[in-house]
Amino acid sequence: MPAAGVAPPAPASSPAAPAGPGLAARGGWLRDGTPGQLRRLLLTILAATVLLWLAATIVVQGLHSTAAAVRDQDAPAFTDATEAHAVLSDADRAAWQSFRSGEAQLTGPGQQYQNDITTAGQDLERLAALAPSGTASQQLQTVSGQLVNYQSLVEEADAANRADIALGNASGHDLGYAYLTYSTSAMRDPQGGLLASVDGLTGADKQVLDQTLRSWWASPVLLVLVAAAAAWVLFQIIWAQRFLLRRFRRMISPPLVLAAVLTAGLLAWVLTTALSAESAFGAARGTALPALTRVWQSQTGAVNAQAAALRAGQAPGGPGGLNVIATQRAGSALSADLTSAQDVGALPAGIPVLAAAIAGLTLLGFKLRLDEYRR
Amino acid sequence: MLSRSRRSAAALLAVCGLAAGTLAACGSGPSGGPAVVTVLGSWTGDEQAGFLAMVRGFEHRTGIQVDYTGTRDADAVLASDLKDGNPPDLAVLSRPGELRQDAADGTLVPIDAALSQQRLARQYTPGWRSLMQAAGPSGARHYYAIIVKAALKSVIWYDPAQFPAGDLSALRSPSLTWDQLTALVRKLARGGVTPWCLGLEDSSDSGWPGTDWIEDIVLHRSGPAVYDQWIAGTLPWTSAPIRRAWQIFGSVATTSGLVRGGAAAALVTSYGQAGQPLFTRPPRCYLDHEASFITAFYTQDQLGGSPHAHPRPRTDFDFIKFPPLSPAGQGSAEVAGDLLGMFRATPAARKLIGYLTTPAAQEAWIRRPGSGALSVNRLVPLRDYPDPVSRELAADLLSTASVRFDASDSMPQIMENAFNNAVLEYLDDPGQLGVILSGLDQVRKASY
Repeated sequence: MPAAGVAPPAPASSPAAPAGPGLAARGGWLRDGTPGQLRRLLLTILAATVLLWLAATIVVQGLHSTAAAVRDQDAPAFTDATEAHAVLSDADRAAWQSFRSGEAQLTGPGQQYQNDITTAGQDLERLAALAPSGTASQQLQTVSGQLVNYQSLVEEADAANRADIALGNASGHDLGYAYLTYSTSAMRDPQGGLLASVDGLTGADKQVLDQTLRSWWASPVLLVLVAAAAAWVLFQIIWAQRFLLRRFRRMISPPLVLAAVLTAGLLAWVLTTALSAESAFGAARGTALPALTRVWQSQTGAVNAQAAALRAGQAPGGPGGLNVIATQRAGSALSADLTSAQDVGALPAGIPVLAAAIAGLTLLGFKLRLDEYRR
Repeated sequence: MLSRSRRSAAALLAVCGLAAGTLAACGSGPSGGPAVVTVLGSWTGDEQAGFLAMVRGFEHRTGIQVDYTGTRDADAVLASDLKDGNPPDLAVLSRPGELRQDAADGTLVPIDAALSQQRLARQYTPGWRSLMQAAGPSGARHYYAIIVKAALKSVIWYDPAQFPAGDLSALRSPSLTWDQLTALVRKLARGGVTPWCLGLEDSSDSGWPGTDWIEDIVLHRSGPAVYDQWIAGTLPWTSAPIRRAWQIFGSVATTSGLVRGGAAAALVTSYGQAGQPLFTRPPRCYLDHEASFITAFYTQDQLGGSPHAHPRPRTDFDFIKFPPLSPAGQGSAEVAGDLLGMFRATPAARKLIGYLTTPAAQEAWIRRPGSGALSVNRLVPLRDYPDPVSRELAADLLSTASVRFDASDSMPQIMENAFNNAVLEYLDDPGQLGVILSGLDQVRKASY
């Protein structure tokens, strides 16, 4: 195996006159004989390497930014809206529980009601921070206004209830419950109530989340682009090896072999990372998100049933309410999948380094042969 | 909530910038979409569908998108939006009182430029045109709103198919008086069915169906002059005409056996569902005092408990005018209307305002069967209404000699809210009437 600095054997075919600046200036350096062919091959491989770099960067950056958007924006928007629905439903239940149990005389709608309203307020604040201006922002404003209105009705219920209690037997004790009924209506009216408006937000957020999770950035389709670019680089390097073997009777060029190995390594790295991220996307889409949705739906359904029973006059049972631990567990699973999807490791830095190395080794491999013509 | 395409475009831009340094080669950002008019209103369900049908022609013709948000708590939402400094372009105002207040504050934008004065004069009577106007911050009067749809409030509904046949002619008599109706009601009560349906629940506006009762009694007992003084805040709530109106309302709403479920049930029954028992077999109440828009609810109710059969106008529901309680109250009617005001003056919002006053736009809503919508545009032909009941209501709306806008809607908003709450408190404890009326007078002194 020849090494750099060892005198080359005679080329298989007579080399043309050495390429000089004059020829290059006349544009003939790419056309003349073996050196020209070498230069054409070199440029082809370099172009293929640039293409591989671009394709790998686009795929990895797209995947990374999509995963980051899902994790930091789309998924939190959906889960915040879903949580807001659940805690508002629970606020209504808690207020009724407080009235029916008689606690309202001293504590008004109760501590759980206050906690739920605080949580809902925080959810809406986060949603406002995530929402772009336009329709979503307008919807949020509507929800905020409705929430204030709901709270004022509960306060009216509390005030009327205390007044009823103060009047003793002279009062029918109807007005406090009447206002509480109005607050429930303001919240649960299927046509334009508070929960219906929150559902509008949830639906929009879910749609965006589904679209992102199914986007082509999160699918293996784009990997074909990277694989094709890498295959082209490899094919060109192999072709160059054959050319050198025929023209220079060299068995193998170490720089080109190394370039081929790095190309295959880069492809394997991109494929492994991307497929792992796509697998995490798939788990988020197919398992964690439906599980989280089921947990919230089940919790909300239970809370709604308790609230309906309390409104119908049933005596309050246990504490009821939301199972926070179950929802946190389901939320953590989704978050873990999305974090995993976002993790592309050192690949964003590795792609330009490896691409540069492939290009450098290719240049070196060709330079050794071209130098033979300059001597 | 970034769209996928925007995110993809952003990623591509970043990568292209990194690789080639030629952003221009990678395409441009998202193009500007169509103009949008945001509208906030209290119309939900079928009413919302009616409004959307109304604006569909506008959207097709202009390419401008109408983004409507409907909630029964629109007033509260609008107040919150205004407080945040981010109101919708247009909002439905159910109260001239609110219109006057927002115009005087400078919150509303005058819409004179969006309207043709000559066309308005042809289309609307001076009374309705006056309702669209208010004094701005400088005191000059301008058009600040248009009337999208109107309602006749002084009506009482019944089911002709189920009302006792022997009493039907007495009920339908054109000369029916309040005393005759009261006698008829007591006779019905003795028959074992509570005569009146009543529901006061309407989320944060609960109580207004009771204010409508009291307003009708004031108008039909004391006449328009007293009614106007009351609205203007010059007649105390503790005055004899107003106190007597409350007592008459109380004689219906708080008398055992006259209202279905009693006062306690009335407090928590939605106004839209209150009339449902008219259509059960047998009926559980016979009479429902509701505005003309209630037909939109009736046509959705179940007939005889069947989910597939719904009450039909004239056959299953019909109306009589609220009877006079004295000669002074004859020939008057209480009306209401949904006003649309402009909070953000955009060319698209102005175009929509102009379009909604046209007969073509108004017809799109009133033609919908069961919409309950009435137009006060004189160029909208009566034949365009889909049934004889709505035609008759529209004719009455345009022909009644003495029309008065809903009193509570015409009062300052604080007064109106206090009135609504006072009705609820009165039903809870009728013995507190004196305290309630004194409290209303305190609010009157502070709010006018």
